[in-house]
Amino acid sequence: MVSHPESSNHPHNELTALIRTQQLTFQAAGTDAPILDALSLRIQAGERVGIIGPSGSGKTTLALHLTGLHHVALLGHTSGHLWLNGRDSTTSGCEGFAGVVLQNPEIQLFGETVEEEVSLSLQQRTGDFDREHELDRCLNLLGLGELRGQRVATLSLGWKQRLSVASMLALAPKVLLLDEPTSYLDEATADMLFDVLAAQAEHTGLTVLLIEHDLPRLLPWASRLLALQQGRIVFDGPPAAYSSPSPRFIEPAGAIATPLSPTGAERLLSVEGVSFAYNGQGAVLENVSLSAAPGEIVALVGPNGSGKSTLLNLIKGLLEPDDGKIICASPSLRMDAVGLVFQNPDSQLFAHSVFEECSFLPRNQNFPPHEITSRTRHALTQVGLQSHAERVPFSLSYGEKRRLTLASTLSGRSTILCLDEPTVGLDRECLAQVAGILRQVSAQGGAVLLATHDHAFVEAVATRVVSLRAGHIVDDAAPHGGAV
Amino acid sequence: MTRAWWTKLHLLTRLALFLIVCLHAALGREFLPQLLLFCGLFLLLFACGAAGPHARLLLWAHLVGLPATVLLFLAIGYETARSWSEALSWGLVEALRYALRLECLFLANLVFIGITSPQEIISLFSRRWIPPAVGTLLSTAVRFLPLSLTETRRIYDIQRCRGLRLRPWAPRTCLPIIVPLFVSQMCRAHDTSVMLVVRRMDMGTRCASPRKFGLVDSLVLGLGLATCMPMLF
Repeated sequence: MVSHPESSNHPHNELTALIRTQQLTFQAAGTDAPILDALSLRIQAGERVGIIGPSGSGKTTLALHLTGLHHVALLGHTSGHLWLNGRDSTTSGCEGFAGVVLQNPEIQLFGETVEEEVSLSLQQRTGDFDREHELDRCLNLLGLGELRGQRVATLSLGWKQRLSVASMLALAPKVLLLDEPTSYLDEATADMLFDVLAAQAEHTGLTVLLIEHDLPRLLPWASRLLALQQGRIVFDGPPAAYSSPSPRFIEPAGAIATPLSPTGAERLLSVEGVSFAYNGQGAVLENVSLSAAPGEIVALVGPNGSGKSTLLNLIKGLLEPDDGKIICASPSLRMDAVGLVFQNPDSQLFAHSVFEECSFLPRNQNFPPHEITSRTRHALTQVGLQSHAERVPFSLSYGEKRRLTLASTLSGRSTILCLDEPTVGLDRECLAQVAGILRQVSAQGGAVLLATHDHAFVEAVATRVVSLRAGHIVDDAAPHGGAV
Repeated sequence: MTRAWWTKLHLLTRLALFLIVCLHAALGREFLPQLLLFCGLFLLLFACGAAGPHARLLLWAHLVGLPATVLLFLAIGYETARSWSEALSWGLVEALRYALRLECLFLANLVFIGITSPQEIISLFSRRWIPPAVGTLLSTAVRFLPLSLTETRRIYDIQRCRGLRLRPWAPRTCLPIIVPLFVSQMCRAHDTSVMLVVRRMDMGTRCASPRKFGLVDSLVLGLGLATCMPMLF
């Protein structure tokens, strides 16, 4: 990805303000504190606005207001003033003004094929335009021209996200909001997406609002940065003037976690010549061999569809390999010896208290009652949630929920901890906490495997980086490139 | 790749055949035709590739429930005749008839769902005689079905990782699946409704036209209706 020039529009020209807010305040139903607290700002056409801030700071709430979708997407009361495209939209919103690309592309796609998906947007678009030309333009812009006849269900997440952007561009909105669009994307696809957005802003005057935690990618791209903290704007200006408050992670991996036995007989996990294919489809993994020793933090990296998550599912035992074998040194069953933490906490929380939620695994692993209690308490202390033991899990913040899912895996008897995209949606404070927990697990003699696209996180915590491409291991090295 | 004959049928023909089969299953009085219908549907389920893991799981769950059906009929028979021998002879026959009807209806549903893609159903909702808002609502509901199945599977896998063991006789063991499924479906419904507004589909979608009604459709439909005549008159 390249650094992009400043927007040609003057940022404080009131006459050209596409979006204007004055003392904009939003209070969610049933809460006392406002989520947005008297925000005033102006945004011109063609600006590339990066919105940053910790979880719960009001980024998404602000963005939904700025796109005129607050009246359909939020439950609460908006006060102050909001003008979108010169129209007072404080209470009524402004439908058709903006396009939105969410983190998860799965729910945004409605068509059967790639071409039909973009065509559906073109059918909803008003005004005179050459439909065929626009269809080709939108598809080619995102590199989807070759896939126009392909079924949407068969696309990888990266391609689905490209398609959701193409569908939004086909609507020809004045503003495009993207809420953490790169969470599921590999580096190359994320860079390509940022380049496309910058080009659209430059050539068509599209205003882009982008919520993103990945500052190294966001800062060179944005023409303006908005930083939020507890519903207030704490920084509004050019990204070059923004100084990051603290380093992203506390200390590099080598300082604490050193593999205790990288090549010796004390391997906790051995994956030997494993191949796997989903029913009736091509091989996802072919002849993959990998081992993990106590104390190692192994990062699995690679583009979308390279087989990282499938490998974790195979190691956990959710899938069985077509060929090869997976051996755990632990005397317990592989399902018990390997803990797998999934990305979305809402897909697993169900209990009435944090303690109950965290004790679900040890109870199912038939530990005696006193040990269930001690293991649960220890796991909650490890992730810093011991004071929240009696709270309802659904009332926790997103970062706390993610730590709870980690605790509810740590409370079991697993010696190998696997994490699928552990950094998605986490702000820097949460990332630092997760990094600390992983180092702690590794220091206690466990092995950690994590599948991620976040290279900064990998460099900070991993002791080894395994690169996968098209189902093969293409590299196995230390985080900075040194051979293992 | 050659397409199977049932995919060449018009959606309305398939729907009509499905209703005819349901009519036979519900109203048929003879045991042998019902048995033949059951066997035919069972073979068709595998022939049309509709016997996926979910379908097989549902089918087995249904068959496992059969002993309960038999017990129910035995109890009803005993209540009526006050004799176990009569209750046994009457109850077993009636339970078998009832189970056969139920399985035929169940298999007919699986076959219909198996040979009809959600997109075909959605295309039917985008007809001019259906108000756009109703069409959008119905087609969104249909889109939810495959996504919900995938989501259920995903949540089940997550809870398996946490040691979940489902016990059908203990409904509480299903809570770790039901609660997250409900939450995720609510979130998905919210996000989908926002996306429908963003995509301006709240005023109705226009999908590709469904296939035209052809001669084969007329013939198949005529034959299906002819089989209903003896039953109705």
